[in-house]
Amino acid sequence: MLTTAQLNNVFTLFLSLLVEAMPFLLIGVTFSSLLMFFVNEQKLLSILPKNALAGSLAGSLIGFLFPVCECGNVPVARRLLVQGAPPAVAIGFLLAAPTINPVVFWATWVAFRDQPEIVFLRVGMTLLIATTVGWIFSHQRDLRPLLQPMVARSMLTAPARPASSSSPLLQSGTFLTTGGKSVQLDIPAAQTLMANPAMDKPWPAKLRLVADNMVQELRELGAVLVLGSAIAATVQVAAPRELILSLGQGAISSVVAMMVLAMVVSICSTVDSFFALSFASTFTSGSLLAFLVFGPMIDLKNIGLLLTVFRGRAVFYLFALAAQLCFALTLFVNLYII
Amino acid sequence: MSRRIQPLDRAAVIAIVVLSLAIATLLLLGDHALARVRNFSWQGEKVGAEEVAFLLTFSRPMKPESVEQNLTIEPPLVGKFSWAGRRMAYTLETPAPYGQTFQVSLPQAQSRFNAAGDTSFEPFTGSFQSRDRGFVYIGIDGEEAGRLVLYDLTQQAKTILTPKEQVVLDFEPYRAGDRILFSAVSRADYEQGEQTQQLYTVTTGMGTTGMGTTGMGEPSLLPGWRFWQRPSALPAGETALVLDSQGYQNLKFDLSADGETVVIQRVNRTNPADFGPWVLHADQPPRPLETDPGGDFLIAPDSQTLLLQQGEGTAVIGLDTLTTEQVGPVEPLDFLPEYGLVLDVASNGTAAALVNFNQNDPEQRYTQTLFWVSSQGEEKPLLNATGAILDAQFDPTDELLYCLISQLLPGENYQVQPYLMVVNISTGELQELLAMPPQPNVSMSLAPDGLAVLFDEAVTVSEGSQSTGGATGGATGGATGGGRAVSSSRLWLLPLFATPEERLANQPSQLPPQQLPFTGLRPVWLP
Repeated sequence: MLTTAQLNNVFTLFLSLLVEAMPFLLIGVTFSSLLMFFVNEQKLLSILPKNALAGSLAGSLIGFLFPVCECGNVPVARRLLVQGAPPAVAIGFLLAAPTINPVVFWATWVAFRDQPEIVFLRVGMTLLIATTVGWIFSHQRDLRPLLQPMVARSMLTAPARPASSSSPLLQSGTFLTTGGKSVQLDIPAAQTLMANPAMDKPWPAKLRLVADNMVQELRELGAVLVLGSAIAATVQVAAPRELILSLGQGAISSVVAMMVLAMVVSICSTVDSFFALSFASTFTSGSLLAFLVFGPMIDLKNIGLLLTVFRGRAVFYLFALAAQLCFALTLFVNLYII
Repeated sequence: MSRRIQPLDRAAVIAIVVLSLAIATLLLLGDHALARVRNFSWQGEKVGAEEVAFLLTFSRPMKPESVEQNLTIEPPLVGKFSWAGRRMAYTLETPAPYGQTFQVSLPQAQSRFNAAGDTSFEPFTGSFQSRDRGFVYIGIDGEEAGRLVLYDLTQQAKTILTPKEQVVLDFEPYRAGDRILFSAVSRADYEQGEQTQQLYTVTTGMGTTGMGTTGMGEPSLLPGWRFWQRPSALPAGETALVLDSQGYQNLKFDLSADGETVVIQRVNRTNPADFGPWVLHADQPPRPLETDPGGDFLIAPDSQTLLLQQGEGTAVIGLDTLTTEQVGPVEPLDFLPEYGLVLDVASNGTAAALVNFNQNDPEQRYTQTLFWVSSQGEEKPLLNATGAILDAQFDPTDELLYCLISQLLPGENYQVQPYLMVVNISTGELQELLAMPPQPNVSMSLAPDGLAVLFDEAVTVSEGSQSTGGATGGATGGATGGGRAVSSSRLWLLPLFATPEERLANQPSQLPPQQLPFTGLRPVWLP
């Protein structure tokens, strides 16, 4: 059991994590809600390179246009696929978008000003992993056998849809999980639901929708953040100090520990650097990187969302490849660089 | 059809196998990264006495004891370690002795990630210098007469700083040692006894420039946004006017530690009743400080407070509130009725050396008592003087107080003999360092690293002649604080500690003073 003093510490840590992270969450939510109205995904798809490797790299970099965290990127990736994007682009986007965007870059910079290499290695590794996994997935020209039947069927009808220019890709995860149930995706009504209904509406209605979307995202992501901060604070105070230290100081064990932690905590990529910073003095730099690179790609909450799009086999490949690449790269950092 | 082996299955399984092999190879090859020092905050710097700690930043969290045992500084500097994550701070107990180069080396250390016995560490060596030991005095003889002269003890070089046509009356170096604030009159005015002194700054070519100090009369400091450019020290001898004597005579002045504020005693040329301290902030016109008339004053080390003698006590006046356009008189923050003179304030601002003129004690009348007064209000009498308490200076550790006092000699004539004393503040122990030949005027200056005292031994022309100004014919020298002309003045250097152990124990010993091979007045160490 925790003593009163320890509870006090938990609460202090919890609040400090929350206060540091909240502004970045607000910025992220505001950006993603506003950009819903300014990005035309169909045009974007038409200018993407056709080459598999270049396509997956391009897909990884799309995140710069859509500052969404991992909670928002699965629905967007799904719509990319439905709209006929090559698998490499969609997978590259899925893995990299939560990290490769200005808000996350800035937040990481603020948290790790003392160790700028963390910021650049985070971005570089994410790009490398996302591009590699995207390239591996590009070997499957037709992804449909690996998608959930509902999504696969909606893909069949997708090319027939003429209204693509008026349906922006960017849609947050909340829309999907609360608005459109994925089981209904194969019927035409669901497709209009998946498309952005706000595009044709007058300005005041649009703004109201932006505000609604912001509040909704903030409520859901904020809840995740509060929960994540509480877990982080409790782990740091309640877990025996020696255990944390011995885990955090091994070149291998620290990476494994941080990757597992990243999966369990499921903290949003806009704020996870502050979370990682609280481990900076006890954990190896490679393990911090593992947390920062792997966390936004795969975590528990995100796997649930992925399973609404891909069959279990594909999700396993995604997970295994991302985890192995991340482990190998960060281990290399630990053993050879820092 | 999803049950069939897809191309992705093949590609993914191959990738997984290849990656597993790569990871296994990495694990087999083992750890090759070395923990190392990423940054040493004093690397290549010239540090002064006000810089008390350096930082070492490591690439990994370190085992503190492994660093603390292996870190060496040559020549040795005693200090304390403190840690914050991957950063280590080393705080010096006493300032680094001036004019030396120090080697910092850490041949081995262990990161927290290393197993016991594993000592993989990239050996580190760094070096820094302390500032050159230098002092400034007012020259007497030949072309030095009335001019500020800089003597660099480390380089053994002498530079005349101020122009020939000026006669320097008073001066005070800036904290960074790069410039000196001084008051001077033109040689013609000086010979006619005109009180037209103006305030100037002059560059020394020494010290550290641009260490966050911006101030008056320095057009060449780099603006803050050009942070990547290191300002180089200006050549010595560039003067700039700070305050003219238009309408007012400039008497005594004091410079704040941050170099941003000067307080000047001014008197109106046409209305002598218009008399009092003025405040000159950087980049602002001078403004009179509207308070009761006062005498001597001193700006505290925080650069925000003025200690001004008023009546028989000392008023504490806040200077920070004056930056806004203020009308009307200034209310003192505090008033110390007992003490008529402040001689020095400890560098950490927690205590001051104050003089009580014993006006309220009939038995002690005409004697002076030096008190140590803490900011908590604790008072400690340190010593008595039958003559006068001329000066007191805290040493850099704030543990010792060096005092220049004079004692009345028995006999018909009024004659005083100066002594240099040192008081250990915590024990109250009083020690005489030097007895000087009887003379009325003497000044001292404690080196910024606290290792030596400079003093002058001024010999006046004759007891009888009370000539003032520059009226004495052949002697072209400057004037002492009392306005008396001087024919000769020797400069002395008094070392304070015989061994480094004495320095650490704060126990100065009586050592013979060394006469410097030139003459001058009012020697003051550069910070």
